[in-house]
Amino acid sequence: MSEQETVYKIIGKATPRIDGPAKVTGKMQYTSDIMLPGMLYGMVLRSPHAHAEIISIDTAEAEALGAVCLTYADINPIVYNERSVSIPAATYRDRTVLPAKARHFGEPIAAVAAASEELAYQALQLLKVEYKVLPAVFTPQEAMADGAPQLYEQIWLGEEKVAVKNNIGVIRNIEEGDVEAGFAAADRIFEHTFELGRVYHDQLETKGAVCAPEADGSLTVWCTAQSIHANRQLLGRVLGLPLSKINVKKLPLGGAFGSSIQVNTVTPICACLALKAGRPVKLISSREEDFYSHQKYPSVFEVKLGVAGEGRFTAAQVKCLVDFGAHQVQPLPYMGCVAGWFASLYRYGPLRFLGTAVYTNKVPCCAMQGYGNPQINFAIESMVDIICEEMGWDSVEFRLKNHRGVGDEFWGQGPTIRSIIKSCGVPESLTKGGEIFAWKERRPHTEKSGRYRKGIGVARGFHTSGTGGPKEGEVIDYSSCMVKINEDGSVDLISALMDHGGGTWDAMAKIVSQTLQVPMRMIGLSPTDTRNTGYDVCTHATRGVYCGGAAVLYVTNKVKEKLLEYAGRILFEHPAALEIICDEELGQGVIFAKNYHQKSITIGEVAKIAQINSWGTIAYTDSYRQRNCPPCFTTHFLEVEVDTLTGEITVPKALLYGDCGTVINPVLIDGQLIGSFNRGLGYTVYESLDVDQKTGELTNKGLLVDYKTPTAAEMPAAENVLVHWTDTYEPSGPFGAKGIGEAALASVQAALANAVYNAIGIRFAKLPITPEVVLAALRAIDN
Amino acid sequence: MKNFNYINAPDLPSALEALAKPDAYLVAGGTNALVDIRAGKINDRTLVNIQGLTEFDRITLQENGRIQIGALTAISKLAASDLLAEKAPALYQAACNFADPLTRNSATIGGNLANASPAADTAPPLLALDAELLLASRFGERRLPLQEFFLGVGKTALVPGEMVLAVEFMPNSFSSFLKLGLRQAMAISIVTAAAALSLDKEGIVREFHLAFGSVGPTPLRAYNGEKAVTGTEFADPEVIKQLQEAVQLDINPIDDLRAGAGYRREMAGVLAKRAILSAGREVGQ
Repeated sequence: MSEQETVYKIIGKATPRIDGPAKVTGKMQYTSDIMLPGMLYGMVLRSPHAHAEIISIDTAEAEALGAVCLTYADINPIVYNERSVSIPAATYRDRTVLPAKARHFGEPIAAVAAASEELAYQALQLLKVEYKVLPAVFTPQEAMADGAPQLYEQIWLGEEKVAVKNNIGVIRNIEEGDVEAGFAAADRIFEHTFELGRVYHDQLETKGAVCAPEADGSLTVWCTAQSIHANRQLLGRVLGLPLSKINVKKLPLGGAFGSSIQVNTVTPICACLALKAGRPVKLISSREEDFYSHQKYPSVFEVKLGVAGEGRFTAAQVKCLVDFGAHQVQPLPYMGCVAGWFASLYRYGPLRFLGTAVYTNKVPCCAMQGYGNPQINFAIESMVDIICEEMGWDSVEFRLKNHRGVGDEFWGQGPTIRSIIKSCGVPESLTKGGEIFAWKERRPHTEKSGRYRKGIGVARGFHTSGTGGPKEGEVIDYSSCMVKINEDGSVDLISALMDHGGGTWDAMAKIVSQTLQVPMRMIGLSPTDTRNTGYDVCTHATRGVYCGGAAVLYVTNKVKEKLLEYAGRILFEHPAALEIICDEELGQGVIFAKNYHQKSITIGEVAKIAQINSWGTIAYTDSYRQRNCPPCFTTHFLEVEVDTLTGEITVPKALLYGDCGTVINPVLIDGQLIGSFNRGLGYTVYESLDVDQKTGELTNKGLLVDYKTPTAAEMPAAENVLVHWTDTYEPSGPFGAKGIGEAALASVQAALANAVYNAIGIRFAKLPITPEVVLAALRAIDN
Repeated sequence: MKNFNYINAPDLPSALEALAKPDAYLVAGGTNALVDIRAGKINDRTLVNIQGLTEFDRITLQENGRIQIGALTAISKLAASDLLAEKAPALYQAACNFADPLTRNSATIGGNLANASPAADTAPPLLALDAELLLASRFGERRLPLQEFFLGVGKTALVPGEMVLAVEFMPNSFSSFLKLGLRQAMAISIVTAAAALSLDKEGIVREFHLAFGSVGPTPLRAYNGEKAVTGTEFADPEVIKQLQEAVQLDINPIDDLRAGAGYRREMAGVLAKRAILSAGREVGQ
């Protein structure tokens, strides 16, 4: 065996999940598994009206049953925004723990806690609420009309009061360059409107919390969260407690897709119930309640693109209208991000983004897989195909020529977070993907006939890796961690960074393992909480590996310095003359004098000697901010088959091309790409959430039976799902890694719509493209 | 959570006795009951568990040539039955397409029929096979043609205190079932169709039964469609066109959140064609 092959390399290996055994044996403790002595069960009373003043709530009968009741009169009416990723000055605030007025069907109005779920349910039935029903608005057009019912008179932006007019929550306009001159220089101008409705996260674990008042006046919290520190800070404000008296525990999360990027609505309610009761309270949302908690942002885009004859853009403009529901969670950064994803797709020259976000009496929208990226990607990547078809250009070549790549600017989180692209797999994925999918042999839809028609479509996209930039902007981004070498050479990793189920924590363990050359089984992932960890903004924006991993790498390298310094003392060598090589059989990292391997000592021996000599623990803790937001790119080549008699769309074959820089764990990258393809298929062909235009109730009533998502049966056969990664290395990433999660969804929608066009010659600009929609479009052509 | 009493009925007499109470709600596989409880459609009832009535959990080929299926037979048992695969492919295919494996293990044929959903997947094949139900109450047993059983959405000809014991039919190898849902599994049907066919030696359709699900308040027989085909040459394209038009008189679909009435009408035609051809393909073999 050559020396090269003996070098320990864990990055890039498919390793079994550290949390796998606990998950598959059911031993993993999620929020809903927490049971405490004397615990009460909480339940939430939800509004049966879309818009109504709450005149009174009579809790006497429920209390007579022994229930603890919580209404607006009980809460500290601090106005907050439950999402704290943006800086306070860029955060609109409009809500309280419980409202004085119901602004959407299903909004929490009051809550009860009782000794059993049965009792809590009975108590809930006994709450008597007197409403004054108000007229409601369900579309932005209705909401913006003069004289329309107003959801709010006044809200807050940071510490400033803001008046709300015509229910317009946010206007965000961004312009770069001389847009009019750009359009004037165009040979052709293309204008189309695209519409994407609401969908639901459908994460496996519904939102919930368990809160326990402690004897010392503190509160312990177990909750579904993408950031434990965000939960602690909001609870501190709402409850008027010092942060040192609120301890939020880090738990495994049963999926998120963005649904817990903000503090969940039920968490402060649960905390208030627990403090009022003086006993632990558990409050877990049912699936139906979860549907009424948060949904994905819908968007309507009016896109205008100018092109010149030689195959380039001259100018671009997007008008964006967002119906974000009854609370801001929050559309200001949403629209900034949409503008950024739009701007970063192509070198358009001058560009303009005009965004308006409107309050309606509907469920509030929050982040979900891509934060506007799949939405605007569908519009722009459909437009590219429309333009290329009209102009007679090959759309793959057009994309290769015009995409933003190495050396170009990328907006990682709206206009204030930008960095320069340093790694880019777009050329490789489009070129090799085109070869694999025989792109050049693609036939136009005009040559297709018969009942079943096949088509091929391509689209490309990306997502950011985190929200860091050279300059601080509207978004907070840093992670903290502590790494500690134990006296036997094993290592503890202590961090608030959340793993939503995608394996982020495995990546962290691998980064430590690789850096210190300690075998994976010797790395311990410590149970943590807000009391024993530094701040971590949130696992969102595909930042887990790139930002969280960079913090772990930074701190681990500091620990390594200390370790080598101590080893140098023992071995009488300069630390720079030492190297660590993993001895997997020994289960230890071994420190050698470089080129003089007779002189060596194990990490465990160094740590033990450091302890015996009272030098101290070999540990380090710090926070770290990434100063780039590199895009992780994806390209989707998809084949669809359209049944022209039923309108059904199936996908016989899919090529999912991902650029995540260095692959930390190949199995998990494949999982992200394949899983997100399934989600994108749902978004494009299956899923939509509508409300009854009279009552504001969801037409599916929050029941999954009438919210169909694609199953394994809707996926292409396993051998026809081709997953490829580009050969790229991100210089600013830990071991060259970037993100992948949200990128994996970005271009699915447009690739499917483009493939459908290639099959039947019909351009769908509105999602979902259900069989009924397809058939109606086919019949419209027949007639 | 909600307010329910529970009685376990180990045998038929105790089941019939429990069922005689006005608030009784029969539970076999529980796949409808649980969903209805969750959706708040039923409350304040006494759940009567009849899973112990094992004598009604079997598929029998009787001496008279008829197949009898006990009401408590799980859908998964139908989907694993070689007898049905050979002699009643329509019912076999419906069982194979029913919900998902977990639900099939629990759901029973009696429950699927007695729930009287217009989308009940086993109903169209049994209608096409001219099935008959065996019913029982404290006052005795009776037989009822399945066509007379469904009265409306969730409404049947069962009188209070009466339950389904078994379903019986004459097998027909030349039968088929087709389902269109919003996805391939765990989907409530948008349209289902079942056909049962008999041809004479000249290839003339001697008898043709066609039934649909999800295109009216009950699963239904398409008598106009049947008439258009009976006595004609099998698979004549002109006749099939007439069949597709004729079934429009039989069905009465509505708009709901799963599909529009127009889409259902068009799909009924598509499935009618596929059902008759699929049933007939067996004839040639």
